[in-house]
Amino acid sequence: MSTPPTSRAVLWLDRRRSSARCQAGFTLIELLLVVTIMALMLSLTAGVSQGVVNSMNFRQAIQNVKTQLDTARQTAMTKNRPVIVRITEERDDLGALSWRGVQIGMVEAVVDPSATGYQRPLPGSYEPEFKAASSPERLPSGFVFHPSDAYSTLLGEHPSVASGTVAGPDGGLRKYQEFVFLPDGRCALPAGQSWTLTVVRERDVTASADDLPADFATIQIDSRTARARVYRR
Amino acid sequence: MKPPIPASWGAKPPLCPHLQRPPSRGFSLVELLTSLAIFSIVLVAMGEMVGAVLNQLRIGEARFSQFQESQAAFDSITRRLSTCELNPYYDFQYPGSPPDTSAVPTRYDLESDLHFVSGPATSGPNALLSAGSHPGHAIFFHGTFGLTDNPAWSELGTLLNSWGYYLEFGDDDGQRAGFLNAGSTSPRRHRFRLKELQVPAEALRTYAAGLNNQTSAAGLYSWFRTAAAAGHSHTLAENVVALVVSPLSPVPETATTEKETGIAPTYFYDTRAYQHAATSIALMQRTRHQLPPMLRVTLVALDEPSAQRLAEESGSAMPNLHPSGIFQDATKFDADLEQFESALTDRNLRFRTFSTTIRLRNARWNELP
Repeated sequence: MSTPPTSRAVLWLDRRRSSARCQAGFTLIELLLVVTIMALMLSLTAGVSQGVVNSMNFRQAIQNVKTQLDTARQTAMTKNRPVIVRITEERDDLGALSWRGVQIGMVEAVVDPSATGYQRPLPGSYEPEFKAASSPERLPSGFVFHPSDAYSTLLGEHPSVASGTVAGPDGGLRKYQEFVFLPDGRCALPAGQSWTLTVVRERDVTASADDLPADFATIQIDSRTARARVYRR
Repeated sequence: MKPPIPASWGAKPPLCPHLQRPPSRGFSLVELLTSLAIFSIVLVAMGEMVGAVLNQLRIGEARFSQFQESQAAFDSITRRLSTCELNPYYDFQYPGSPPDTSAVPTRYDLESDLHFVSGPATSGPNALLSAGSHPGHAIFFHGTFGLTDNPAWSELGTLLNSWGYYLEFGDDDGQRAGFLNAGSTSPRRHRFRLKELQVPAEALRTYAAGLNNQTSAAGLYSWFRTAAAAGHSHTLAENVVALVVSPLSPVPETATTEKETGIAPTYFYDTRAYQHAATSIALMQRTRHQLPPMLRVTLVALDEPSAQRLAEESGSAMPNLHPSGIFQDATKFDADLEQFESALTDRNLRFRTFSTTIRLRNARWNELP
């Protein structure tokens, strides 16, 4: 309503005439060609970057676990007290429960009789409480510890590996396995055996639960030096 | 209420610039393709740059964690060594061999029930370990480290253990989990490793070996040789290519001929050398049941990428990093270390050297005859 209709029409006509005269533009074929080439290049890069991201995730998963174990060793030595490492079951985004959490903590006895959680130190029934030193570290999504004790011996049944259940944030019970790092730089695990945790992709385990998939990483703990070493295919 | 039309409307330059510009064409297909090609070249170059940066990052990370491991190993060696024990005492010396205890004793001299020995591991006249790929030096001693596998003894913090450090070259098939060895699951790792001999108290063989009555190296060294063969050794750090242990004694500043390496001129130091006539008589008497007052411990560690390259070059055979004659003469320590390091540099191997002089807390060094 600001410009009179007649002058607008003139402008429109003028612009149309000029572009028809002096600008060629693309034909449909040309545009399609360019779009196809770009799509082709994009898909190539996407394929490569997918592999890079995948392997970086795997490295991240191994590194997380190794850092936790090294921290446990270091804490035990600097605080001069045993440090407990718990391997826990955690739920993934879809709610499936599997071994994918690592948590370090210490045994903390409540010594004040009027405090909550106080237990009378009676032989046989007395168990001081586990106090987490940090929130549980989870493997990146898509990665789990191999549940078979052939490949993750720390998830098997041994007298030196304590196991139990703990209530998760959703109220459900989750299993855990725990072992101890000692202040003198050792693990409280018998030396004659190899102690391993194997990190694999979750879909590989759901496909075949007892086999070792092609892509895996085994973290082995030398109980004498409490050092974790990573073996990767 | 229409806004008034400005008076100068007709004189204003037209709103559409096309009308004024010389006629211009759009991009042609060739131009577009050229720009696409240039763009992709730039993209590839950038990708390569990112790749190179990531690679450097990975190498740096590997080096950092490697040297962290070596540093931790070095710290634990110095901690263990500084508290090693010999527990010497003076006792009657009887004439005759074996000593005739019914005779009149001739003098007092130092005695001990323990043993401290260091020196070249497999080379020289007094090799500590009889066979195997053990470059560099080795050291074996005792200490009250309280190590035991018996749960009932676990709180006894001062149990006596025999202990030791030496290098080994080989694969790690025996150390890692069995399923990793099956087939070609995980590649074999041929590496130099720093081994720590940890003999738990219940497996201690020092007293059972009857050291005071032994007269040969085989008998005197059996306590650590059998323990090392029985699997009491553990990998303390990987990629440690040199371990040099040099016993030192303090030298007064006025001394001219005496050197601080004088108590172990060939790096060999044995508190029981007199029992198997291993060195000169004067030296045997000086070192008899005495801990050296100081130890210079030197480690040279490679980083993992270098070690990997070395393993690819030489496979399962031990790479010859130690020229013959190196680390044999304690007075040439600095020159030997320099030669060793420059040889590593020539082979383009990245390394770090850790060296310190440890004061042995339990050494009561005296030079009285």
